[in-house]
Amino acid sequence: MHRPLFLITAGGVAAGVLIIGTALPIATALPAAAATSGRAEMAAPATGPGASEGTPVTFEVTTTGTLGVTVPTGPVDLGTGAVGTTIGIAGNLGAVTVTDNRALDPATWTATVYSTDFTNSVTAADVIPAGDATYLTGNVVTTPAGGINAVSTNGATAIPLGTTAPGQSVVSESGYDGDNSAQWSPEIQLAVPATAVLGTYDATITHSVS
Amino acid sequence: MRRLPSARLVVAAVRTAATTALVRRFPGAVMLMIAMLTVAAALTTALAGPAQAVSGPGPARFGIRLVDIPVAEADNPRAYRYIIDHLNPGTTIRRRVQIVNLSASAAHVTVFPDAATIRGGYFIGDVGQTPSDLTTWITMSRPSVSLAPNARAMVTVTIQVPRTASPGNLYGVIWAQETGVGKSSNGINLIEANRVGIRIYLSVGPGGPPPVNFDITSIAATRSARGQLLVRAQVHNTGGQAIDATGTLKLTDGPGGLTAGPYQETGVTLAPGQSEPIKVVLNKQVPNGPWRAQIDMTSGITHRSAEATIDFSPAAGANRRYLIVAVILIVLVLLAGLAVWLIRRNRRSSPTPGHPELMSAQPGH
Repeated sequence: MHRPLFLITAGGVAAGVLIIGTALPIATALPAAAATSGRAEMAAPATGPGASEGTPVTFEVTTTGTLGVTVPTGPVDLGTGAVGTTIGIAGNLGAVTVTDNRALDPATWTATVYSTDFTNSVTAADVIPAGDATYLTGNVVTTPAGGINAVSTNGATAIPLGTTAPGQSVVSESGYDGDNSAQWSPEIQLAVPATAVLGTYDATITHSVS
Repeated sequence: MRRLPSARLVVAAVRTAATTALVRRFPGAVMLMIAMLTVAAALTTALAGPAQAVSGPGPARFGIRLVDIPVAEADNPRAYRYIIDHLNPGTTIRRRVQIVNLSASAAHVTVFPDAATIRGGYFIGDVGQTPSDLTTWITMSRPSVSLAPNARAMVTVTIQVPRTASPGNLYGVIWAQETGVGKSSNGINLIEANRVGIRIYLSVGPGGPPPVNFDITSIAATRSARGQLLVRAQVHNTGGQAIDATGTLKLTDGPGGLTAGPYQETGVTLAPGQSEPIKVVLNKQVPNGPWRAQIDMTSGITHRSAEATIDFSPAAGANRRYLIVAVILIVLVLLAGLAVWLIRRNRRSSPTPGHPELMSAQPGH
């Protein structure tokens, strides 16, 4: 019934004994949810620092839980608007759901967002800067309720969607003990600039969770 | 030309009016259309039903997980989430990540490395597929995976640190990304791309890994204008590696011996040398104090704690300042009064030297 926690697939006998000797006591400290299976790897022993230095030797976590996010839907139509007006309504982007089933403590993740500029589909030189659009996170609904839940990092403040910065954090889970999920329906508003040229505009908005 | 977007609004309004007119003229045709749509919707639901049952409750999702963890990091919770390693120049490591399609439809997921930065207390992956020193050392066993409903696939990430690599900390992310497909409609469209990733914290250099160390340098209590109670603590990364610190706040020795908490803090990610505040928002009903506040923080296997006495009294510090000013004013007024009284008493009681002379001089005239 007892499977060996580690199998050495490469490396010398002496190194193997050393690894087993050090690995087994460490393995007892693994979380219960993170079952281990028989696989270890010696990555590039010829160029590496050697097994005794530890880092190239790995074990496999066989839990099936992942950090997941909703599959994006088709393009979201923000509508049309005259120059100088602001378009966009609450929840227009649809719900973004992050599900963390990695069975970790602390289960920490951060969701960030950025957008490209809005580009005219006919004359690509005509752009509406992403900075003219704002992102309001809105309520973050968490499951299970209670405990240490994900929160909106910007509160009730709408942030500009510029591309000059790498991205901005919008929702953060800082230490739930175990599986958790959070859902929010952002509101994207675009102030159509006075200089905008008629046409259909497309931008890509990216939610990143890690 | 530039006024035309508003012209298009007019067109949309006209179209709505036309539809209304259609309803009035051909009510039968409209009813038939509604009936057909209802049947189609029912059929779609019936077809999608069993497949949705397989994928389980919730919206269609896709996910990623780290499969291989270094034995040396087995007791470090951060190593289960992220690719964390210290590598000597010339070393190569391989880590597998698993991509999972948690939906009832087939999925095409691209997998790629991206640069990342640590800023404002957050780990932030860069825009798109930004190259960095670290990303040029990374090769993926495949650039994308096509997955059947609820299928899984392994992708191997190989990080080859060149022999000439300079010592330092490097950050990156392995992203799994799906992009929304479909035709844009007339107007202003947002194409959605969602991605989930495994962060990479890599330290490169000779010898062993740099030390992990951080300090909680201050704890302060504030009360916002709306009366919300907030505890802020400053966290400073004093070590040689990035940290992901999370922790709790406990309040003890409060009024009447009350204790409160533990409360979860907003976590913080810090590169070496960075310092950022963490916040804990408390219920308004928590008494003002004074309290003994204890903050415990953990990054991986490194724990730190700090204690301070805090008070949520509205403008407690300002009150004390007013008190000092008031005392000084009272003392000044008293001193001034005393001086005036002394002068008057002096004038009244002491014999004025000029008078007798004047009096005595008068008879002499």
